[in-house]
Amino acid sequence: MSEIIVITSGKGGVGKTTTTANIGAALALTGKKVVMIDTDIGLRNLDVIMGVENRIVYDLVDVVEDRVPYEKALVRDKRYEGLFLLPAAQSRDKSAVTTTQMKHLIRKMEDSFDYILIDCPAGIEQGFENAVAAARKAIVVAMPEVSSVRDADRIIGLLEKHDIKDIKLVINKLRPKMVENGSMLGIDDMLDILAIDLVGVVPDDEDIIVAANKGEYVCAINNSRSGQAYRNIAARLNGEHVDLMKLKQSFFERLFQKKRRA
Amino acid sequence: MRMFFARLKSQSVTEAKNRLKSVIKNDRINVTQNKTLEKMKKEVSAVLLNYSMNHGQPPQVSVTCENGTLLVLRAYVPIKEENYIG
Repeated sequence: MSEIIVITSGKGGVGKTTTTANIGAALALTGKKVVMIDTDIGLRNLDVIMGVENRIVYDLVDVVEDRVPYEKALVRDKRYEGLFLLPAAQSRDKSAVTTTQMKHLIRKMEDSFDYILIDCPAGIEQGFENAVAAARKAIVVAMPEVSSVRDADRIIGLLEKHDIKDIKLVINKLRPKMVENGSMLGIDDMLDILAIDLVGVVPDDEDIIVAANKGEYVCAINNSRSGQAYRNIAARLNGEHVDLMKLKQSFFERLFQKKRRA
Repeated sequence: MRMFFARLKSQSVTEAKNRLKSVIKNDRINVTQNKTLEKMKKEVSAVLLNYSMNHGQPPQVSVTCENGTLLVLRAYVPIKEENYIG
């Protein structure tokens, strides 16, 4: 039986898709069989982040409308054993899928995968309803910034209303220096407000943008701090205890990282 | 001079937190206005039971109340380390 996890946030642009892709890839690196479902119909991006945008033939709407079985619509990531994408349709909108269809689809899939990760679109309308319909757990992605935290709280309330009790927080785009000098909300500030368990903290990192440009996963870059953060999140989801990393790097650690990048 | 600006910057986080707590409380009031007391009692029991079954330690409980009405109850493990990521 799969772990069925929706990755959501409320607010757009906080890193749901990047988080879905990298957690998925990191889980696949540990030997798990993972499918990622893009439910952002009309504005799909998971395919681009994964670098498989040219390999899409069928999509989620083709599957729920019974034109093809889901196996035929899956795009396998050739770089990772056991990592698959079910892409969203790009030429339809979110009303093209119902919550009943999503539940039916997930039921068909759940015996074949260790993890089903559902990339939720921004907002709280039909797209959100579809994404959470069959989920058993949730990861809420939030940035340490007022509008993101406010929307995350709203989303947590809605997830609880949908009887999803296992809700975890990923803090994304944290800037350690700003936290240190008191200009940015810190981990304990966000936990104090949102009051859900933390599963990981991803620092703001240029590596993420560079990786997305190339259609690669930052979790595959060994000396990337954000990559390590995603690998840690995957390990925690697998039940391992992993300590948080140091916020501050030493002079030599920063120098070594710069040299590796050059 | 540096300390003055540092104090100014740290006030921005304090202000952010206060503003957030205020808007979130209002959001929660608007959302829960139609909840009956019975429903709230069930939710409280469910949250605490779920937490104690899944974790090996007692939770930190966050409660939002307004005029004697329970709005939100959540349980979580607090992390007091400010200097970590990952």
